[in-house]
Amino acid sequence: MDNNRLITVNNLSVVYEMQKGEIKAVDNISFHIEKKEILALVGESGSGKSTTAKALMRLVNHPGRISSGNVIFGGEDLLELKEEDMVRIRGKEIGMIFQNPLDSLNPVYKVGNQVAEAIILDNIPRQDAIKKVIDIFNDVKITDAKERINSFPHELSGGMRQRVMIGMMVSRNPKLIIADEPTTALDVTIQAQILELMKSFRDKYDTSILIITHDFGIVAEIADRVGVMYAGEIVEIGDVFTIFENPKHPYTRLLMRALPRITKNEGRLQVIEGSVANLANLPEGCRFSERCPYVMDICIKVNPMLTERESGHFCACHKEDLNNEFLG
Amino acid sequence: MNSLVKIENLKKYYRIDKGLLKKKSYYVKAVDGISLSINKGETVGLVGESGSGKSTVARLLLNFTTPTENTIYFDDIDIFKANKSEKKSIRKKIGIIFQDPAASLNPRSTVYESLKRPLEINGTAKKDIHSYIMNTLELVNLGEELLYRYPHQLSGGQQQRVCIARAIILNPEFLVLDEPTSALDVSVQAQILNLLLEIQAEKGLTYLFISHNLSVVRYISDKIGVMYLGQLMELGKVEQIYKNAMHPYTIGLLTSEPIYSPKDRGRKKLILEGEPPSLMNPPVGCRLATRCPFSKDICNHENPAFREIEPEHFVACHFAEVLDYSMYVDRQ
Repeated sequence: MDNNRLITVNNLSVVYEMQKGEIKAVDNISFHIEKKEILALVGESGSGKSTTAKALMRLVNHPGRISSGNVIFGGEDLLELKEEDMVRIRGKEIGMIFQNPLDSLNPVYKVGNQVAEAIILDNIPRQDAIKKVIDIFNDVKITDAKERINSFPHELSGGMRQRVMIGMMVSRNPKLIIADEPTTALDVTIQAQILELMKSFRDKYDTSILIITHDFGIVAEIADRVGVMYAGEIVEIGDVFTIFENPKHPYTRLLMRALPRITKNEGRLQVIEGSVANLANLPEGCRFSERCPYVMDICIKVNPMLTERESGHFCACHKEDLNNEFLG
Repeated sequence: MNSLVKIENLKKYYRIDKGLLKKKSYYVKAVDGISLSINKGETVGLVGESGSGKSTVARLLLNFTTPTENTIYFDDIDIFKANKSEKKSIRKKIGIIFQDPAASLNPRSTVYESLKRPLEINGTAKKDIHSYIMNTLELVNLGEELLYRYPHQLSGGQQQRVCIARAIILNPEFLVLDEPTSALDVSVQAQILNLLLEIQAEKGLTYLFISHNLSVVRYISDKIGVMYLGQLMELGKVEQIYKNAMHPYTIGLLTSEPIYSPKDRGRKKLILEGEPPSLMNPPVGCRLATRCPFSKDICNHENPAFREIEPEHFVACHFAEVLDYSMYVDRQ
């Protein structure tokens, strides 16, 4: 096994048990993250990207259930650990940042105390912990750190709250940070600041980052590798430069062209017909087949496997060579 | 050209009473002196971050709220002084589409009922209602089979198509679109944007398109206004804004937008430090002075005039002509 790997996910599946039957939100996906690497999982709603993030932390709640797979981290399978051992991993080894910091922060405690609480878990005396919080707040560029530790979450702006969350996560120096749409609730100028901050932490502390996003722009900005998800599966994964330059899967290719980057005087946006596949009623073959302009007979019958097209670049599509005939 | 909507120095302040006896009053200056005219058949995009006042402008246009100072003219009629029958005729000419289609449709009404309502209210003859609905449905590319479905049985994209159908069914002249694609997935967003362009071409509609997303605004608009803290920082034709932006805030927004390809990673960004100040107590000078890397003494005490620097290109910056952005933007 490659010892540069920090975490390896094999054949992970998550199902939601509904009255009408099981829904496979994540279906047999495998990927890994290397040390100091930023991996982005990108996809539209219902692609399973957030469920994947939660599954790594074993935070999938009823009616969801991890139905198969393993998550190898530090020589152990996280899915086999006892709950109390998992508590030791969460926060200390793997930190997590969510989209809405207000859901993660306790509204009735001062933010400084909440961050200090995380640090105290590592047997650091309270006085020192508070000092460390001030350092961390300076680190995450919260202005007037000394005063800000005494603020309540509602007194801070969205960007500041997300800085507090990032501070809390890096305070225990985890090996991996999972960030689920960390900038989606923020304005672009603040988003730019937060992405900058996350990159600087990777460079400074060698932390690996798994970023979950719907925005190819963020992928382009920050990721080393990217996995594209569709209807519970990874349809393409590889180096970010390669995938932006030469996407092999029709979904990736069309989606990138659906992003507005021109004026209406210069042409029309690429359209992907229909809407994201319904997980309760998936097609038998390839899940993208109903929307895919390149569809062939085999696509309707057989779901393609993820295969390596060139070194490190995997794609799940029956069509080996994509031409440009369907691109607008 | 004929301007359909004319706004001059429009202001909307919201009063907030504070203190134990509510004796202290503050004003939130949501819209603080905006001038804008929208010509027939064109799309004006308003872009800005949260709290910039862009949605308040939409609310004022729709007469959901009244301005604190000055007014809006629609077809040369002062919409706030109009009499009842004038108001009704203006209402009919303005359609609105909101961000969240699920929230704007009645969950207990089928598509058919949702579309029938505006026709009934405006006295369409009963025998014509069905054909009106079918024609509009076709225009927004919705199949007949969806006619008797409820909103929860539709996808987000289909719901937004129903909202568009409802907004155009009375043949309005003007549509206000407040973040119409922000709740949609990228692949569906492209469908809706293209649909809006098709409908506009077919019906000669005028659009006010409000969004926080610069790429979306660039795609759909003829003219773009950039708002910050209740004021317009810059206004111009789409090419003027994207190829020749003159306001530091516009440059900040443009360079903060996520890049299109990892190859652009080295690109220099104009990072606007800090966060927008409170609307209750905005800077007395230029609104951007607290965050602008080019700010000088004058910026802190004198609010720059909104000046026409080249034809149809307005900028509110003391130094618009002299600032050099060549390190941030490539101007071929």
